[in-house]
Amino acid sequence: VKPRAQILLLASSVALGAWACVAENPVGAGDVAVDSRPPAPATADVSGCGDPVIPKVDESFADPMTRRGPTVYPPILGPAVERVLTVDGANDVTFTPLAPVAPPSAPLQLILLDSDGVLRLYFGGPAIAEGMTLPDFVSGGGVVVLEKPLAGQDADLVVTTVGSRAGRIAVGPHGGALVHADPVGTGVRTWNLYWSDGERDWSIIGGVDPETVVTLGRSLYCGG
Amino acid sequence: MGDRMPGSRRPFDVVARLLCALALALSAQLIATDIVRAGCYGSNEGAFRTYTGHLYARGVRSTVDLYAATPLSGQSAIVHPLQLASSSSADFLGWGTAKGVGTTGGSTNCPDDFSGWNVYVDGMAFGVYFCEQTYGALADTAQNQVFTIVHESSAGCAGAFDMYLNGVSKTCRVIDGTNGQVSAGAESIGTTETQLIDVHYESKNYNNPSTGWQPWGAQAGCANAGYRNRVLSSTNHYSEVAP
Repeated sequence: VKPRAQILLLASSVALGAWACVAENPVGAGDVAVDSRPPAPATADVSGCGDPVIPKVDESFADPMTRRGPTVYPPILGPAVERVLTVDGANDVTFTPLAPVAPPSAPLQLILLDSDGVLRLYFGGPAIAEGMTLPDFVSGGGVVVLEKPLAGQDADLVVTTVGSRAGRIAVGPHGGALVHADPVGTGVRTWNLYWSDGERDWSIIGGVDPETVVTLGRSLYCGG
Repeated sequence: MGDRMPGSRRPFDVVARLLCALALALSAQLIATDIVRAGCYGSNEGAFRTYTGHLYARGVRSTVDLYAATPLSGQSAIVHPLQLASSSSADFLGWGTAKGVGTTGGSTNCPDDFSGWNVYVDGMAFGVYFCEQTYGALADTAQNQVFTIVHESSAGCAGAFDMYLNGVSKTCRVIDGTNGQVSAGAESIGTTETQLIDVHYESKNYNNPSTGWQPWGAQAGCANAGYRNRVLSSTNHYSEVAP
């Protein structure tokens, strides 16, 4: 099985170069004001590759001070995890994950496999320790990629569920839905990207700018 | 022969003393176990918190008795939720009753209502909060109300979470995830925590991904299925195993 891990690491390394090309004109975190952007031309991102043009989305959100909700979030290293696969120790991988290309600023630090087949890849952010939650992680600039068994959670479902809070954007050859999420935890608002490739459903939840999130998703299909 | 020295013990006495000591130790153990049971959901967690059993599940179900509650005007809410928080995303689902201040902003339809226990569903779906309380209300004295959240792989809510009230499906909801950490309890929202809450849990169950519905209390030493949350004031609150 080791070769698979090596392939994964090799692919990540090779793709780093591709990332550098794709992210030639990176946009810094925190300098995105989606409301001020002109609406994206409908054909701007038809290829699903290259520099993303972020769609305009409805920026209204629920007041976190009045809404109901969990007082605590599940820990990342919680009971759902079947196996913890560190990047260096991924020699017991029995699956063939599709690994997005890690941004130089956010290296892949942890891979988790849940007992129901969900693969979680954590990029950048603070070092994941016992008890750390997803809000803790994304508050520190972390990004998580979720690779899930097919369950129909595609862009259409997301747009149907959240309406104008989602904007459509292509992820390679697939249609995606981008959402500027409501605040969680300490108040961080993540950019979430959802799509399905017909074999798996994908989510990316990032405490970073939307360009980074979309480019991470596109790295699965572009630049090769 | 056969006479004993004063103070000496017959074999039967020794056995009796041993049995007595054993019984005392057993009693102490039972008391300690009861304390542990009461504390396994947090002995100091009052109605402004939710119990987090850290159970990984595809659903949660509880049977509760509701009692009168007194949310403060203008800034307080009282909630009795069941919640399921996704293990992998920040999404969650809540299902239960509430009275008092509603939620504002975004996609919410949970207005202020101090008149009774409104049945509500809320959650975070694909990063966006929603709240609805269009499922009627329950009396302050409603008994044996069964709230259920369960992820369905087939039937009417295939691929979604089905929200049942007393065995009747009320709505289907999709979030980013098919399972998560389940919790139950009561909470209040606002700048004060002096509301009176009295919710009696008759039972709690969680839907194990591999074995189906399980008594919640069977986990981690929590063997008693009856729980009670009560808040008397901002400084006097407790949770206990119901008698």
